[in-house]
Amino acid sequence: MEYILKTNCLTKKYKDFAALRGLTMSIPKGSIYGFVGKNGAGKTTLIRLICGLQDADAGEYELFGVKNSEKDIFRSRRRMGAIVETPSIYLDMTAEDNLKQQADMLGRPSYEGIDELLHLVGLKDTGKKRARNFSLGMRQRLGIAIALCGDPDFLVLDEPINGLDPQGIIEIRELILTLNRERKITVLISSHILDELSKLATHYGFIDHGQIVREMNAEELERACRKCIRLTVTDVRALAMVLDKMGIEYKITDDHHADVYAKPILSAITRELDQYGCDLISADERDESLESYYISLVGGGSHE
Amino acid sequence: MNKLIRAGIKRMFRIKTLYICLAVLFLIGGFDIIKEFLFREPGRDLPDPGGYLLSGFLTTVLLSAVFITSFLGAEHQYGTLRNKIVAGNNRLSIYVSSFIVCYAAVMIMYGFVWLETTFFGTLMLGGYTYGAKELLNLFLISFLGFTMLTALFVLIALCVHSKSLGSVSAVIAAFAIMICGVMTVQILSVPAFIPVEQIAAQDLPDYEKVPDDPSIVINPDYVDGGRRKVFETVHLLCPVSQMISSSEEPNADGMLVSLAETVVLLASGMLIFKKRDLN
Repeated sequence: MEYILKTNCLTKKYKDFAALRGLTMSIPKGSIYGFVGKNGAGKTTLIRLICGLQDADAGEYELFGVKNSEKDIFRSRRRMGAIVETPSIYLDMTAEDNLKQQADMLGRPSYEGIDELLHLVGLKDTGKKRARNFSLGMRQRLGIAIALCGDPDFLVLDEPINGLDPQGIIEIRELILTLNRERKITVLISSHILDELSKLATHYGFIDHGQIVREMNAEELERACRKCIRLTVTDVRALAMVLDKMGIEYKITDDHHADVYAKPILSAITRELDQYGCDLISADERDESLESYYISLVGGGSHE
Repeated sequence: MNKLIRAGIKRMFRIKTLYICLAVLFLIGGFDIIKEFLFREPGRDLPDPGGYLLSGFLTTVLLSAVFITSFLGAEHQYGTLRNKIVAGNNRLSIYVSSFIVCYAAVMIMYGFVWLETTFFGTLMLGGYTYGAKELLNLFLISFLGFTMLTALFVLIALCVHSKSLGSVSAVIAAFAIMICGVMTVQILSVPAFIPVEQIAAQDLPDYEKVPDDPSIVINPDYVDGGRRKVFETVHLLCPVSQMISSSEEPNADGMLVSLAETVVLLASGMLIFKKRDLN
């Protein structure tokens, strides 16, 4: 598999606080990589490092196959666009002037494509309105347009839907999907809104205390979060025997509960259980969300 | 780096700050000359417009502090410095290009002062009576002085991450340099001796006499010894002081010191900017 970004044991300390502790992750080409972690877990620190805003204390990373210690890393960065925390836009300029400014900075010979970009992010009709007077969603979209100005192959979005209204969230989601599917842009997106992330991401990296706890793709996550029926019985050993006999996949969670990963015929199970003197007390459908999976991975401790 | 310079110059003209600075310079400079022309005392000689270059210089020092910290501080405030880094520019290029763009802006402002002074001066005060050498010295000293001041204000703007803190620091620094320059020139230009006829007879016993020359007395305000050395050093280091005391003779030492100061400030700024984490 080809990777856009690979990090190896990245470490970053701020005085006594270790923001990254040997973080190792890989972002496959063409993916939408959901970067999940609570506040202070190290998401933004990693993004700052790969954007070149800060230097790592130890470890290394490869961007488009170029190590951060090599001189060509600056050239590799030209293939990426990023929004780090807040959109980087000149608030005293219009959307069009912001894009012209970015085009000048990138050394583009003309302003060709700016109209198309404005259209893509839905800011074509903003006219002479300065970015200062834009809504949060408009600023976010302008930030994405600026990040796209250099036709990047890799887009880094740090909390792009923070503070957006539902309509804004949908627009940004659609935009990211379009960019990934139509322009084949690999996207690294960090977000707190996990359910929203689950509608986008093809790969996930779960970070906690500066380390990747788990990396998986969407299929693996789906399997981990798949639907099940939680059965509550008086004797879980009897239930296990019955389910084994019926060839049903299950997982015992405690002395009275088991999760069954199929659509069992409850009347048949009840009849079988009856033979062991065991009662079926309840059957509840469960759907483990990304959020609950995340909590099971990193624990529900207090936010930093 | 050329791309950054081009983009910086274009941004300079896209935003209002430079135009506001030019308007302020126009109002202050033009107003001074027009006031002199309209309200001069009858029979008094018209001043040389070159004198107004000094007040233009001082106003430009202040406005350049405001412009540079506002222009570069906005990059911190809006987070647009990040775009430059992500676009694959190294910090050295960003720093040098910022310096060049700001210097261009300062030269535009000061060039505007020269144009305005020359235009209104020729029209209302009869043109320059200063010699070409004196004007050239004024130009050279101010050119080098602004190089040093730009390097200082760029250092403040890029190394202080807060736009408002940077602006306040730069304006305080500009005022300090101007006050220091004016005071130094005043102190150093005090004559060592005063002719006796300029002193009232009843005050004369308070003055120390010069043994060999009864026509003069020692000026008590004259600074000598170690203190004078300190003020002379300040004079050498301060571009405002050199500008005020500019004459026909070129101040080669002062110019060299201004150049050295520029190099030191640029090198220190680049070092700090390179090592600091950006948000």
